[in-house]
Amino acid sequence: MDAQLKKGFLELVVLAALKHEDSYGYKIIQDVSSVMELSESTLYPILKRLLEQGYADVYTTEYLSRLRKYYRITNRGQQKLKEAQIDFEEIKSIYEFILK
Amino acid sequence: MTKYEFLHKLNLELLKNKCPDPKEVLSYYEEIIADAIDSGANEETFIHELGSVEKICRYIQKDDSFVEKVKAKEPIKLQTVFSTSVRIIGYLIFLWFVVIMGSVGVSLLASGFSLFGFAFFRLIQSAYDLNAIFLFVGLLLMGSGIVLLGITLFRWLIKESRPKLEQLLEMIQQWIRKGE
Repeated sequence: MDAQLKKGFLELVVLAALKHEDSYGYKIIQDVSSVMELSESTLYPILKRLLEQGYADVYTTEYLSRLRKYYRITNRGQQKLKEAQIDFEEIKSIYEFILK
Repeated sequence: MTKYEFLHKLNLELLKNKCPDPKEVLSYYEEIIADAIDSGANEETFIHELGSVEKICRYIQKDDSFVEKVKAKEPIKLQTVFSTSVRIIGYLIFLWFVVIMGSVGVSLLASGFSLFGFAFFRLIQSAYDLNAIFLFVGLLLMGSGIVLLGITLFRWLIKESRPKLEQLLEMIQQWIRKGE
């Protein structure tokens, strides 16, 4: 996939990984890897951006005597996913036009 | 490399390059590594797969400057074109420099070893001639010195050029991907 196109999708894919349950860095990578290649160094800036833009928030929980950061999708993030769904329909029709 | 060695190296790299939020970056990688190990991954293999600390740091810096530019909505098109040409010229000069320094290093090693070998064998042959012994011991030391100089030059060259060569390879990979 084109790098720029992939970059555009990555934020949404990470956000979608948080849609059903809160998750942590390593698990997000594992979940997303079935649909898209995502490295640890790529995930860090994406999470940072999602937090800064208010699409996700973070909390810390103790796990096996250490602290683990969990990321949670916010209402704004849910809204962003809904908007993406509308965008997807548009993208789909563009692709259908290109491939016609 | 162990987790602590990796985190120590990453910390030094982040501080050296003034990367934003170094503590946050370290805590992120510490957690990722701990989770990978808890999930059964091999510590050294996983850390190896994370890539070099230089690459991680560059990635963070690149993303940060991209976000800053988008936030400021800078007209970056012309600037990008300009910086690409400057980068290409820079890399060509750098490659030329590496080749020259590498040749100097090879010459030093070759001449050092030759001098050392020559002095060593002549020293064995003239075991009873005091003047010759002084002369060839001197040449032996000189040969060792030149070899050491060559090794030092190579080590310095590898240390200095590795991050730049990685950057260059990354850039070429990006071009190839764009071309596909």
